[in-house]
Formats: sequence, structure tokens, C-alpha cells
Amino acid sequence: MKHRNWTLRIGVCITAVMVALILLGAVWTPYDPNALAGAEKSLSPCLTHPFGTDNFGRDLFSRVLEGGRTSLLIAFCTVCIGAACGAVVGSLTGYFGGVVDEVLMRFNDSVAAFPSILLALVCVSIFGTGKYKIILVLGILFIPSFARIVRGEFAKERTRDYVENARIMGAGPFRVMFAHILPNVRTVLLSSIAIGFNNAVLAEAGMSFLSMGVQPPDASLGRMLAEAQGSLFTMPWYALCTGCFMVLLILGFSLLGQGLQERGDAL
Amino acid sequence: MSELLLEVNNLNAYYKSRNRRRQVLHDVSFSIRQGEVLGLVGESGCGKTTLSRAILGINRDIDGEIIRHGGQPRMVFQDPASSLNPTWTVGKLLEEPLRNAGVEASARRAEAREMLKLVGLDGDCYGRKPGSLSGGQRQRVGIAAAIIGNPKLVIADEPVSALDVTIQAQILDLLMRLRRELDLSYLFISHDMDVIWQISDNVMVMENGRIVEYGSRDEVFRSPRHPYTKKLLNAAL
Repeated sequence: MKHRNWTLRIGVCITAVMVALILLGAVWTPYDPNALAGAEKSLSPCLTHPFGTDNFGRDLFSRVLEGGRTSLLIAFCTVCIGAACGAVVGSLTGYFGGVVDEVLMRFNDSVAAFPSILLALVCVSIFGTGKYKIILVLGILFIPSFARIVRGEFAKERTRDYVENARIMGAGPFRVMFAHILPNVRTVLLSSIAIGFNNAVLAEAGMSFLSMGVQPPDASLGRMLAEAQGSLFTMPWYALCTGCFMVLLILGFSLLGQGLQERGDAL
Repeated sequence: MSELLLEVNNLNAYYKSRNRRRQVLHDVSFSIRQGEVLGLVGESGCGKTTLSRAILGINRDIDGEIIRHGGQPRMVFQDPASSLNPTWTVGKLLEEPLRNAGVEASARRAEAREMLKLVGLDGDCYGRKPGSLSGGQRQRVGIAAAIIGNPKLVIADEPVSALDVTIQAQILDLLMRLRRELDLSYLFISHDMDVIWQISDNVMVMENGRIVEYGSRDEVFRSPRHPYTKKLLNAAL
């Protein structure tokens, strides 16, 4: 019987639903996420407000979609920077080895050796907060993990016959690296991108929770959790709904990553 | 006499493994003429692969002289499943040497289709991945990829030893036909004395990185001088 990759399927479903909701939120939300409504303060979830409202009467479902979009956007840009730079660094070090490897990987180690949250906090205190600075800081912090994964794959692939054959066919080193080898490490790269997404959403949420990340009026899931903390007992739905939304988002990416990894192993 | 294609004079080659530099080839000298098939015999680990890598210019840790009169040699690998990039289509693989030589797209495509026909494959292989082909078909692609762009010398490193016996004969026939039609020269590496007898003009026997016997096929097979050659021939009988 054919093995069915349920991890991947469930991951794809959850991710698709969550991303679709967030994209929908970009063009349409049931209420204006920032509209204050004095008469509808602190409503518990009901038919008109599925996630309830906060203490200013803002519709939480609309705000979660809005916040999810900010979180997702930051995660996306972070992973793009991390994966692109990591892939370049990793393929150079893995393919060439020797001095290039030593220099780049020691630099890589030095970035990886810092506790990432600490480094992020230091960067924020130097450069200030804000969406784009967070993206930049997190993006740079994400480079080492991608670089390490890609390096390992390249070091493994470069001794294989098809790489030697590519060189005999007259391909230069960069063509060998990016046209010949890179497609062969794509499953590993894809699964680490999905897992990277998951880590990036968490990292952004963590920083915003500590109010080192996104600043008002931008909503993000981390910021909303920080706001919800104050009214955990009077309005538990605020923290619960926001938290569940984030958990589902992360779960989706994490299952997607694992599923891709399983598929890669099975091939 | 036809012209010289490859001259190897007093070649020593080294191989570095775990930070230890080891000499693999000792004072190897031979030559290959246009249209000649030189059979290279020896057991695994005797330096056959190192020699082919040196001739191809991949192993640069050498001293001695390698003169390539016929341009860059090419190679047919033992196992096409690992030597053909599994993520590329056959067409893209065949066109790669032409692309790297600066041939434009439409000419590349025509040439690749021509090559498929020449090695006896259907035109619809062009868009398929090597993984979807049979072992024999894959080796035909491997051969096509090695002869596209008119190289003069092709190194064939055990090109049939990973194939079924029935397919072996077909691939050998193909190699001999291509040699006739395209006036190719082969350095044909094998451990199978029968195969060497079928295809070679001259034979070279290698043991522990040294050439212990080198002469015409008939000379080597009829009156082997070195005990190692005698052993190989006895084992094959």
C-alpha cells in the first residue's frame, strides 16, 4: 500500500486555510479593525463578533486578521532574507570548502553563538523598533541556520557523479552550484523554509510581546497577546482567540515543514 | 598512421584523503591516436579513475605531462543513474555542453534531438527525466551527453558493468557504431577481459598505479608478459 503523507496533507490544509483567511483580511474584514464602538465594549464571542470585542469595542476577529497579516508579512520577509542569504553562504562554503568555508562558517558561528533574542534586543535598542527594522534584524539572525543546512547538503552533493559530469560538460562553478546542485537540495530547502516560517512567526510574536517589535497603530499577534494579558481573567476570549489563531498558524507551517521533510526522505 | 590525440608522459598523480596526500599513479605514459580504442584493465582501486580524472583535468594534483591535441575529452560514467542530474530533463542535459560553449537555443535543441536519434532513443525522451527511463535507455542518454558537441576523445569508465547482460551487448554495439560513424577515440576502462577483447585496438594493464603491460590487443592477449596480466586472462577463461 502506498504511504500517505498525512503530516504534509494536514499541514497544507491548515496553512492554506490560515493564509487564505489572512489574505482575505487584507481586502475585507467584517469590521474596521481600528473602529471604536462604545456600545459594544468587551463583548464575549457571539454571532456578530465571532472572537468578541476588546475594551474599546474593536472587533477582535478583524483585528486578529489584521495582526495575522503583519505577523505573516514579517515572517515572510524574514524567511526570504534568511533563506536567500543562507542559501548563498551555504552553497559557497559547502561547494568550495577550504578557506572560503572556514571564513564564512566562523562568521556564521559567531552570529549563531549569540542567543538570538538577546541579539535582537540589542539591535532594537541601537536601531529602534518598527516593522522594517524587525524584518532586517530577524532576517540576519535567520541566516546561520539556513546556511548550515544548505552547506551540509552541498558538501554531500558535490562529490556525486552528476556534479563531476556537469564540470566535464563545461559548467563553471556558479552554474554547477545554482543550476545543477541547487535543484537537488530543494526538498531540504523547502522544508527548512516552512520550519523557518514557524520560527519567524514565533520570534516576531516574542519581540512584539516584549514591545520590542511592531509598534501601535500596527497590530500583530504578539502585540495583541501582550494587550490581552492585562485582561486575561475579565476577557479570556481575547487571549484565547488570538492565541489559538497563532497556534494554528504555527502548527500549519510546522506540519508542512515536517511533511516536506518526510517526503524528501521517502524519495 | 592517424594523428595523435592524447599524450600522457611520465604522469604522477596524487590523491588527498583525510589530510594525507597519497601517490596513486606512478610514471604513467601512453598515447591515443585518432580513432583508436585503448582498453584499460585493472582491479578497482588501482588508479583507473584517478587517471581518467587527470586526463579530464578535474584532478590537478599531478606532475608530468598531459597533452590534449583533440580538445577537452568527455566521459561516459559507469552508472548513468548517478551521473545524470535527476532533476533535469534529458533535453536540458544533452544541451548543457552546447550551452556552455555558447551555442544558441534553437541550434542546441536541433542538435539534441539529432543526438537522441543517433543513440537510438525516441524523440519523446527529450522532455523526460532520467529517472523515468530504463537502465539501458539511461546509458544511451549518458553516451549522447558525452558525444554531443563533437568531442574527439571519450573516456568510458566501465560503461556497461552496471547493466544487464542483454543490454551490455546493445550498448557495446552502440559505442562501436558511434566510433565508426563519428571517428571517435575511446579510453575504455573495464575489468571485463571479454569486453576489452571485443572493443579495443590496444590494451593497457594497470596494477597499483603502474602500467605493467601495454601493447596491441593481440600481443597482450596472446603473449602476456606480466604475471598480473596472465592472472587476469586466466580468470576470464
